[in-house]
Amino acid sequence: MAGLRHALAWALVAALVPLSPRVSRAQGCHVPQPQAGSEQGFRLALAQETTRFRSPRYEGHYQGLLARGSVTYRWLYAGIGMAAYRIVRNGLTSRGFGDLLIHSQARLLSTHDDTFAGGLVLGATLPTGDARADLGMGHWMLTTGAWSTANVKPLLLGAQITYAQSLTSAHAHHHHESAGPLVAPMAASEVDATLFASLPLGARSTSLRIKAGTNLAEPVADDRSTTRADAFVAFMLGRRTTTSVELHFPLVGDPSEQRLMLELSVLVP
Amino acid sequence: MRSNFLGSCALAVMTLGVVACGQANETTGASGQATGATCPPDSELTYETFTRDFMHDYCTRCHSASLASADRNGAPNDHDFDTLAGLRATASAHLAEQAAAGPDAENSAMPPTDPRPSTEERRKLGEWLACGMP
Repeated sequence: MAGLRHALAWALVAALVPLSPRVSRAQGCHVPQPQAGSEQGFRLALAQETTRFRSPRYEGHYQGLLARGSVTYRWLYAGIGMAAYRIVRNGLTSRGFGDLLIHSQARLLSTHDDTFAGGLVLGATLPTGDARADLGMGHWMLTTGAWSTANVKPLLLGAQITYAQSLTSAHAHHHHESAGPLVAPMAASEVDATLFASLPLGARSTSLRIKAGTNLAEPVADDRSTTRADAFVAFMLGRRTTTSVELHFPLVGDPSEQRLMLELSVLVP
Repeated sequence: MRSNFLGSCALAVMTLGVVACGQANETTGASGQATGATCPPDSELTYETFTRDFMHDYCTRCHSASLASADRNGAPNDHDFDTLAGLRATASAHLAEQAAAGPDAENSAMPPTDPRPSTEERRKLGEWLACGMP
């Protein structure tokens, strides 16, 4: 019965893909934000995203479905994610997978009550997406960085800074004449920073939280890419089974317009 | 619990496949090959005598500055072939790799839909590009 409930829930999210407003952006190639708390076990997530975009070369929209699996065991968190997209660029429709993301997060420092915690991030993307269709980078990317959280109850604060580097030349990165895929814009090398704050809403039993923050990406030695920044707000409901709605608002340099991401995830202890 | 976990994984993969593997809407031929086209000393191909009509017949239904983005069938906004200047703004190697032919190879990725040029017309395009787009 539990399996049937999972199946129905995911089918519902899949059905929302073509129905939802086109207002989000893929995050399939970017390392997720720091994982707060001491959750242990497997977590499966299915997210849907859509967006309308306008770049110097293309206008259009895409819809994406992102599946993510992660496991947390003691101080180590590891995850894998893959997205499938339908993209329409200047009137032409293409479908395909995005780049495969593998990432891990190690909790190396923490106070005894988890008020403060921090550690390292390591990730990689494999070029499974078609770069010609703006669905992938077309080459490997490696990401490394650090994260930190501060649990100043009731507020949870988080920060993460990473450096991403392509495993190819800048020329090869731009061989398709664009400055990165439309579904997850990224320079050949860049520094990414994320800051967020999370706050519980209402009664403790409702498990409703609001989260707000900003993402910044600064290209390094890549003059064809520009600084990107956005602000986001998310509402999350539930603990073991979590539903979230995340809204992103582009601030600078992002070809996408406002973004919306819906996600359903289930913890399997 | 384990069966639920595996079942959920399988469903996620199937759902991704449904989204990613839609019906192909066009067919594309070879691209990116070095055609080996050269410019013969007595070449008479110019924009006026050949390329303008070639572009009109096969290219500007998508690669035209007069078209809105949604009507370009995927053609990038910076690839307009209505004029000689527009063609010259695009790298000749890119044009050759997409649509030209020569003694060594024939690239037929463009145009992706009918009507399409004959091999002889693609050879002429290769020659015109090799001559420096006169």
